Amino acid sequence: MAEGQFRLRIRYCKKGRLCHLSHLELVHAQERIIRRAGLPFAVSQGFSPHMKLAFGPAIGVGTGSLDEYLDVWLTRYVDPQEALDALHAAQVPDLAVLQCSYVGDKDASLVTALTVSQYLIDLFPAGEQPDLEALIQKGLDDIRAAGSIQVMKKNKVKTYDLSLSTVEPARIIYCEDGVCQIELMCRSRDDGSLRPELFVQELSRVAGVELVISCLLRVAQYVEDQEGLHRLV
Amino acid sequence: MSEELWQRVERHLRQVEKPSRYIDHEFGITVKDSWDYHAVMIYPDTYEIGQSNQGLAIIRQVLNEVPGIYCERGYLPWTDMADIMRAERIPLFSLETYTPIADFDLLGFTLPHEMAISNVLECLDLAQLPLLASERGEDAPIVIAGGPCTYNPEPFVDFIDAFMIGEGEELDPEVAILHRRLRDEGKSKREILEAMAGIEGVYVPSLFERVSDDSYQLRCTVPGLPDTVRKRVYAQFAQVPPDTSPIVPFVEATHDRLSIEVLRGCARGCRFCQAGMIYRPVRERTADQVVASVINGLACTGYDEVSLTSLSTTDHSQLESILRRLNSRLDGSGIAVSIPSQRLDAFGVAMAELVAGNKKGGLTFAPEAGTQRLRDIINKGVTQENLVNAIQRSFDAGWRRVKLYFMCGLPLETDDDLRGIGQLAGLAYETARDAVPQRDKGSVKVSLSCAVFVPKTHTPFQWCGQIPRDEVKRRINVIRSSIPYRAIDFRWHDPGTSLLEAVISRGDRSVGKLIKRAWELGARFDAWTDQFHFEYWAQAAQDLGYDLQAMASRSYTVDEVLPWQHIDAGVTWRYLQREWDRAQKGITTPDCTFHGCTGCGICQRLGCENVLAGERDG
Repeated sequence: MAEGQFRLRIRYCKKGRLCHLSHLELVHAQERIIRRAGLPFAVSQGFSPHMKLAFGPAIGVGTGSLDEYLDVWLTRYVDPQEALDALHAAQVPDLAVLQCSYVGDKDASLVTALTVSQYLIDLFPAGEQPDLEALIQKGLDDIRAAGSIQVMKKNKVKTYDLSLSTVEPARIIYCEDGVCQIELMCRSRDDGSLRPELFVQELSRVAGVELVISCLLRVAQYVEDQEGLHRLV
Repeated sequence: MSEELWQRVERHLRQVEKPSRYIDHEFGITVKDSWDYHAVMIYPDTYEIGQSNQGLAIIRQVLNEVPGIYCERGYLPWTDMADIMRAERIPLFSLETYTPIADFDLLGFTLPHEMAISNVLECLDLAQLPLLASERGEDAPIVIAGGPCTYNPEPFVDFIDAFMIGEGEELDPEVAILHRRLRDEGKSKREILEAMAGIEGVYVPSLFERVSDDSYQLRCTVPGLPDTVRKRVYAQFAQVPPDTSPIVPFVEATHDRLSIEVLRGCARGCRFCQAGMIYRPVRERTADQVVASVINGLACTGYDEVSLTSLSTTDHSQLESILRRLNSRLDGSGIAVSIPSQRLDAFGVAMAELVAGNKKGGLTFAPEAGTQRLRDIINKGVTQENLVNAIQRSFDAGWRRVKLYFMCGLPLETDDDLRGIGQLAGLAYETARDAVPQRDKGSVKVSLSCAVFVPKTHTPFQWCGQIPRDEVKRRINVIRSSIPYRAIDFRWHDPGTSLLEAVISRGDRSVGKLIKRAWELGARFDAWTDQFHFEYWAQAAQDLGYDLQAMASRSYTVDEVLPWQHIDAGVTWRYLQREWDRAQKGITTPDCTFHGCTGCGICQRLGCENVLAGERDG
């Protein structure tokens, strides 16, 4: 961190209709919120000066989140509560800022620190399916037994080893009124992270039923170390 | 808010490109809890094209300032979503409340360019409304249209109930308020349209008929109403500050920045330019107003770039002061200021230097014609010396890329003029290379872009036809073979698009059938190169027995009544004829904001004069 700069960590959500924002759209929206809030952000030097900020692991189009993070570097100290109030006044409701706090210069970057994402996925079958829960449970069991998922990506087969790509096996949270919610704990990996959509694609294939995602939500992100999973803030 | 309609749409958002086009909820939207009159303004293209449009933003703003009126936004969904909507019988919707378009009181379109018209039909069809105005019943919204193309509304009269000619700041609220009152009184659509036609600037085509089959002369069938419709002009423009809290989109818009309109109108008098005629008189906002609006606007929106927009920003009498003050206020903020085009002289480059800072991308100059003879004919008041000086100065100041815009097929053009384009580009390239140090000579880039001349209504060239497509190809080849350096990049516009622009821009009522047939055959998003299919239009013409080439290349005599002559754009017909006469003699006409009155008639006839914030220099 440059001398005289303060690294403010912002936790926020991405929900409602705004779950359909792409990561790039989210980045631009947050930059504009910070500008509107009047925070004294630092500006990079060089040919194309821009706001100094860093985001956590990207979140996909159509995925909502209750636990997103970004770091912005300020040129002077602003009380975190004041920063929070200013951001609240400048935000759009579905990108509500939840917390602000300063972090140290030497702290790991958000992308490095946050390696586990917890997703809740609401699914419904494309047609009538009276025994949905049993089909999905069997599909989850079969995937677990297989230990890996293979998907076609640009005419190449990509294999996800579930012991590496997930923290624990996916499980059903509830299944009622034709909608089934499952929980999936994915790990970020340099060689490609398992996206929930790919998991659902495989689940559809294994369960023999076309499953449609009605809601996909990242409910939390975790730091993983030898002692287990921890929240960042 | 139609939650049910939103849910029907949301179910498909994972299947379409850029779902954020359809989600609303941006910062700066207008939300109302109750209203008794519901309007929607549709830009007939995708969200990211339309969201940048300042004209519709102004119309929405002035309508939303009227108590009880709620004006929303609408756009044409991209083809993937449109196909789903048709398959699922989902009607076109407004963004803010997701109300079906057919349920509004007033449906407005802007017609920004000729090629947008197939998208207007696409919108009406997706809205599950009949395309033809004559087939829309009492329950359908009144469909209005505004924008530059409505200065010749005739090709569109089959589809539109009423046209708003001119500037809408005062006109559109007057129309909406009148409509609300008459609707509440239980008046019929016909009665409402007749009453609307009484407002200056409103053209209701169903109330006009041709005097005879031999002439395009139209007369109004309603006693007491005039046979010509004069454009509206917003005389208060210079006194009223621009909107500084526009909607901030999530999707990257084509102009993804704060836009501050610094002046309206241009009196340079380029004889091919419709905008230069229809937006007169010139009205400048003051430097104080512009600077304050920029600072407020940036704080309100969070944008990191601001564009000072107009037809000719570098002509603003206080531009240098504005830019110096903005540079001082915005120093160190990372905020960029941009001006949309550069005047082709040293002052233009000096202004470009003021906004560029260290970031010198490329500059764009528009000499338009290759020889002084033809530049005089088109009244483009620049010389070869201007261009050489501008190139010299800009490359000396650090720029390494320049784009030159020309037109081919201009009236009275000869092969010498075409060869002049290549020679001028060559001179620009040599000048640029000479102006830079030895180590940078390889990075000098000069590109040449050539548009095909499209005759526009209400210009001195409105009587002239377009050259045929084969001749376009020949002339392009003349230009290409005259370019002396292979390093100069040469591009030209698609002749098929230009042909259709010419057919529509000066078309009469019969063109409506062509448009409808082309749309039925599949035409939509015609302004998108990858979506444009000339064959739909060719087939439509064949089905109707039309000759597109003959329609585009038709020349009129100055004595003929033109299909758009009942639309009064302010400048007099006599002035346009005089300018056409001077063009043929190669005589230029000066800009009245720098010199004296040139007699276009605007100020006297509209009661609104040029308003300059200071003395113009140049």
